[in-house]
Amino acid sequence: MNGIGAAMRDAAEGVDVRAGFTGDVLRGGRRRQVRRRNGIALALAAVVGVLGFGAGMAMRDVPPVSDERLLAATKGDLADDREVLLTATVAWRAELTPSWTRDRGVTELRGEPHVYWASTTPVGDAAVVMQEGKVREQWRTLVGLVARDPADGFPKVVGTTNPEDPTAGTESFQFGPGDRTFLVVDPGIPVYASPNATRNPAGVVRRTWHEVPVVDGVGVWTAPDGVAPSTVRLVTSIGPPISDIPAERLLTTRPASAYLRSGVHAKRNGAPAYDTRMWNNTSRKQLRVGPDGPAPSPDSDLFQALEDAHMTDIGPPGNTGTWCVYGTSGTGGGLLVGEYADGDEPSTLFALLFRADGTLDRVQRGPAVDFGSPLPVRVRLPDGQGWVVASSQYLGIAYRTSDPGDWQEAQTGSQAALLPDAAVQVRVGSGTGEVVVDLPR
Amino acid sequence: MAVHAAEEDFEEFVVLRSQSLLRTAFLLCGGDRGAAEDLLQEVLERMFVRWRRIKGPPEPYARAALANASANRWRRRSRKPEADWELAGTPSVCGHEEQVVDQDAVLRALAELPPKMRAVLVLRYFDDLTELQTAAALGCGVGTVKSQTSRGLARMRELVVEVTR
Repeated sequence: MNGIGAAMRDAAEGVDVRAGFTGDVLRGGRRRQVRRRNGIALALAAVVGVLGFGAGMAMRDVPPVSDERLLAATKGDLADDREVLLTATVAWRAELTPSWTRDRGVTELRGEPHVYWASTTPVGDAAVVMQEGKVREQWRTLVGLVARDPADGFPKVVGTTNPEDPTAGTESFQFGPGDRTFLVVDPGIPVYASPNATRNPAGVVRRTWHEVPVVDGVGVWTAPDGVAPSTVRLVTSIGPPISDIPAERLLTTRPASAYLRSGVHAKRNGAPAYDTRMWNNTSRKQLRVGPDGPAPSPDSDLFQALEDAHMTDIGPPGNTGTWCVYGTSGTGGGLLVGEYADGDEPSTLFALLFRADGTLDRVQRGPAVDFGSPLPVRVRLPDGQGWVVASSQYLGIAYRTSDPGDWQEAQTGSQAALLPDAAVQVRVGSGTGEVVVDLPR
Repeated sequence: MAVHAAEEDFEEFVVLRSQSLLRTAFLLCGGDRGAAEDLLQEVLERMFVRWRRIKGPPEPYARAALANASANRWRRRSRKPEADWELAGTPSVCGHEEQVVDQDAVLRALAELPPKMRAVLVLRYFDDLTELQTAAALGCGVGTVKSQTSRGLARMRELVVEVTR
């Protein structure tokens, strides 16, 4: 049969690997490696046990370390459970892939993984594993949490520190069903947890704090039922935090589910996702309104003003809008309206009111940005000072104080206006493109 | 970091050579595409574990492992042929009708051969291994390769004639 090679090549031509094949092979290979190491280590442990060596028998060279925790005996009620320790170290080794180290700027690993803590938790066995890694020529302690993945019940690394990311440097984790359980490696000062934030009628943020007991070098705290884990905050504090908590005291966590599914770039707890409610698509970013007179700089720091007024929650900074309405109020002071999205809250309008001498008089929290409306900005100022309205898409604003009633031009050709307090309806646009919007009373 | 470097090497090997290896597996499995993917994945996963201990170029190692794994696999499942005769030879490439029939006939004929004989023919004529290399890959003598090749080609001729009749 001449040409059998050619016939075979013809027959196999076009056969190609499916998408994702390489990833499947790597995952399968790692699983086999874990199982193999498990088997070898268990066999070794059995042999060591038969020969009567103690559990603390050193079977490896111990490199010099800069973090004493790497040399300390394992803490926790499962510290003597060899299977748990072995599972944790095997999972850790499997996790430290080239892409893992590359993403974290780790150029070299030193020594063996060390189980710092292993214990039962309300959501099953868990272990904290540490190992030294070189980052920018400095040895740093990499820390990871091994716990069961609620999706399949298998122990996995569910979170790690990331020395390349300054916002992810704290040794704090979030895991278990619904990512409701928080774990903090003892930072050396007390740890407090707060389930969520509330606001008083003026919009000032309040939180209640509970000290997290640290036992055997680790604090574990579970969010109460009904609390969204994304609203939980953990901080270090000498005493119960009151207010003005410095951001550096925040212990950030990344939900284990996000870590497992999305890897290193998953959002961390408290970091707001990009908010499509933001009124950011106007071509004009700084819209002047009101009569001639003193006005604040349109570049005034809205976030700082909100923070000073205790209207921002502790956590990663939220998103401020890229626009503002500013000008002079009817009383001769200045005004500035902008928006701010804090945590998982809807993006909300805020008005800063200034005295005639330019100093900040008060901060008023308004409604959420009505993103779907032709007039997404509608803020009623206090003390009868009127309405600040703005449109992202329409030019020309008119209003009337009764319905039916005559329309009054407010700002011809403009996207924003300061209207009398008695206004009940606003018309934006012109000609056939006019749209009427009611003002809430 | 040696472990990581090794894993990167392995990943590169999989990316670059999987297509070629899958085609070998496809023929070794008598044209069963799904079985070929399973076979290749299993072999590569085993290679991942052994990667740093594999001496010499990895591709011949992989081809030998595929050939041996396919033979073993068929032995394990010999009582229940895996590939449906009607489906086994379905080509994945459409082309001239005659070419399709010819490819189909080759795959069907391969599927009918004993696994060891099929492996010898695939390694010799698809992967272009010498008799000595084929013998080394399959762990048998050169004489066995010669006889299996001779008998295999003869059987292929008969089978192709039967299939295309």
